[in-house]
Amino acid sequence: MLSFKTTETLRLGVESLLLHPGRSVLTMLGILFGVCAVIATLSVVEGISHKMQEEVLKMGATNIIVQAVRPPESQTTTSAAAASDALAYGLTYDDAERIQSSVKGAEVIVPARKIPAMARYYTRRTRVEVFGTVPWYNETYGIQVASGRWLTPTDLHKTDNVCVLGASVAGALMPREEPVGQTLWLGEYAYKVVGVLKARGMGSGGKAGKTQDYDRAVYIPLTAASRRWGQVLTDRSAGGHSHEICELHEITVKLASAQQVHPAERIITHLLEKFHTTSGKDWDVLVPLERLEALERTKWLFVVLGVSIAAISLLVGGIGIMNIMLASVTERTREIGIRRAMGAKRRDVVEQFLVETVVLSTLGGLAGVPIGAGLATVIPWGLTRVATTLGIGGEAALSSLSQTIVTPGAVILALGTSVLVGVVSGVYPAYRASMMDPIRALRHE
Amino acid sequence: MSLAQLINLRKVYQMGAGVEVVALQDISLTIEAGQYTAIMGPSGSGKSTILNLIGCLDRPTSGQYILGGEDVSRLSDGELSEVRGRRIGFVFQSFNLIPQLTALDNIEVPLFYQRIHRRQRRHRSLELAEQVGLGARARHKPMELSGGEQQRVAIARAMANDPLIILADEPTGNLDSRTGQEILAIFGDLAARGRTVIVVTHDESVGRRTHCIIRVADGKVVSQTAN
Repeated sequence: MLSFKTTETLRLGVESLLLHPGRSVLTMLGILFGVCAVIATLSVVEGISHKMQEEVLKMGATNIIVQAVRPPESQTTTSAAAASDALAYGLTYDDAERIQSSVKGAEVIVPARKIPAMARYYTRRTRVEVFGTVPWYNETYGIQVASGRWLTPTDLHKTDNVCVLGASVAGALMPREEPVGQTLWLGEYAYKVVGVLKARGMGSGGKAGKTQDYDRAVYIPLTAASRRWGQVLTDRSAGGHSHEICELHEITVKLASAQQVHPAERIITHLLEKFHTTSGKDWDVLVPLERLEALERTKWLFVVLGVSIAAISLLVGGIGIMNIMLASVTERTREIGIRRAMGAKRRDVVEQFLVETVVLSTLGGLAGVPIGAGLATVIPWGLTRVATTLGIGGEAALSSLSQTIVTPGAVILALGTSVLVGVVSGVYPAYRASMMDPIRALRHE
Repeated sequence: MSLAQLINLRKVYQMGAGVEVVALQDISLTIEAGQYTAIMGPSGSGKSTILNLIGCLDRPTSGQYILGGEDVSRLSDGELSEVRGRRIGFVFQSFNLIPQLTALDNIEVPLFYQRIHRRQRRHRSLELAEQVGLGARARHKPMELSGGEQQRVAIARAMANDPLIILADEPTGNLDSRTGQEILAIFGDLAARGRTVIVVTHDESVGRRTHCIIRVADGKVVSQTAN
């Protein structure tokens, strides 16, 4: 019985609407515009937010990036730099090491150098990959020493020409001798062998995911690699030339989870403040996560703003519906009287008009969603055209708007609101209709 | 047992500012099943008020109304609507059909409020349309029908729920004399088949065709005579 009533009332409501198509469409328009506004606003905001998040995520959400900054004043810190004519600034391997040991669970990535070269020992030669790296590299990647030792921080500081051989290299160049203590040639310089590694085989350790033959590598201190193969930057601009020595331009600190980011940031900042004594700040700490969080907050601001505007639009739409329905009820006074005379209860009358209103608002909502989505795509394009035509500029920024995302959440919100508006704005007219005195209604007009 | 009993019915309207209008002073009537009755009286005599009360469109201020053995004097609006839908069939002077619906849809309206399913409704309305002689015209809208045809639709609609009483308010008032006669013939036919029909009118020629005339004046029954 209940299902009969619902479907029949629904049918009656829909049929009534079809009998007055013009008025029905007019009523729908208010809600349609409101829903359009909601969808368009939310989609554009979501699109911008998503684009910006992508940018930040490229930097790594759980990363902290420490960068060297060229200070305005020429201050020097290292004695080596003071001895020469060069400006020394920026990050050092010491910084990187301090960070690695102070921040638990962090993976400190420092630009390493990989240089293919020819290794020579007396008459023997073999192709190797020279790996300029840092002392803690072996811990991070689980490299084990077969004989001798791995690189030490001292090697790094003294930029010694020492090297650690991969298993195959040792075998190829010094099959019959103990490699440790011997001297071989890499490129133009001689290096003393301080250690040999256990066999590791092939693996995908490279940044680009390329496989590398660990056993064909020769590990030397990063500083040595830089010095021998060049890291001094020379600037020959107008009037003499200046030399800059920047050990490290960038240190990337990779953390395991987002919770570790803020504590790690504090530690890193503290370390850098303590150990960098130049009068101008020669470092900067970038925290992508903070930027992400700031974006989230900004996005929600815009969402609230946009939804508020759209809510006003829906309110106006709802008032429009109420007005039109009230007019409709007055126009159909006779009809209401007739139906009541034929046995309709007040409840039947309320249901009939309420169904009509809700069907109208829901249809308006359903139509508004695709139109709103379409509008969301057109708006950025339109704005770009306007900017170009008026010569305002900012097209690049506007192009970031070009991606609009319609989330299911936005659709549900918009549709749900349109149904709600239909119910709320339809209740009063329906009530008015039901409370009419049948006798007077029958005499009307 | 009589079909309907009006016992000491009184109807007073409150017009506001303490002004009262006594439409019915004291009405006592009995309607037997199968009776073809006319309620007659001048304008303002209260005959419309009696019609509204018999038709359960209104409630008496005091007194009793017993319809089909049920006291309907103090029912709630919902209950009254239910009784009205099931037990009464209305025919109005100005037809009162819903303009946007076809004749068949109009006939079905009372059935809809009795929760009759679509197919059954259609079956019944076609049947009724036949009975009142509409035929193919039944698929047209009221605007496309003549006065006489519209009134036939109204009669079919009044019959839809197989009511206890058919109540007609000046049914020939908006029709020419010839069509009026046709319509009255239908009523006579219904009465002959045992329907209880009450016609409210001021037209003597209409009253003459009934079996019983109840005359009303100043809110009181003046006489009740058989024809």
